[in-house]
Amino acid sequence: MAQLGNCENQWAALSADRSRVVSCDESLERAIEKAIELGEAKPVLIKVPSKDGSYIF
Amino acid sequence: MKFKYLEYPRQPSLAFPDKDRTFRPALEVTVKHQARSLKLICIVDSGADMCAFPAKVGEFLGLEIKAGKSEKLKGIEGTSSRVYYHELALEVGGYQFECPIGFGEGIKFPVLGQDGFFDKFEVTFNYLKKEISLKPF
Repeated sequence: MAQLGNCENQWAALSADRSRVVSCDESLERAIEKAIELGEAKPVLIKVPSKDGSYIF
Repeated sequence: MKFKYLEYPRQPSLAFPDKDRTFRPALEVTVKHQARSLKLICIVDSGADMCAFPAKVGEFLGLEIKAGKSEKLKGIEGTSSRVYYHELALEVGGYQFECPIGFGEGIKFPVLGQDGFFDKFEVTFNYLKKEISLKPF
């Protein structure tokens, strides 16, 4: 699994095998656009929570 | 079908000074609407009554969000968000199913809840193995 630390509170677009972060952005659409520009045609999208504290979803 | 929990970074806290990561039961789900699709990591949330996604996900898929039937979803801290339901095709581990999903501006993370997801699979959480297993009904 990719390291998500630099994408806190953003949408991260991962490679198809989820081994690396291709792009991050506050905008879902922009994260996808950047990933496609970087050659990842079908990224996996993950909304990265804050690192501060615990979550109850 | 078995899936490993996903590892998320976190900051150690006063309550948990040794905890620098969190493992969560999260699945890669392909969400489809007409010609568009998106691969999305969703939290498997047994405490959620419904499945709910951020509105931006629906907009990306080309949905007219407010055309769906709406209700308020309430969180444990007492807040509520209006969501609009749309029935979409989902795929997990090659298994396809239809699922009503509530889309809303106040939904920050995609979650899979009882209606729509837990009514399709027997779900087993194994924290020691960091593994979630799904068995279609």
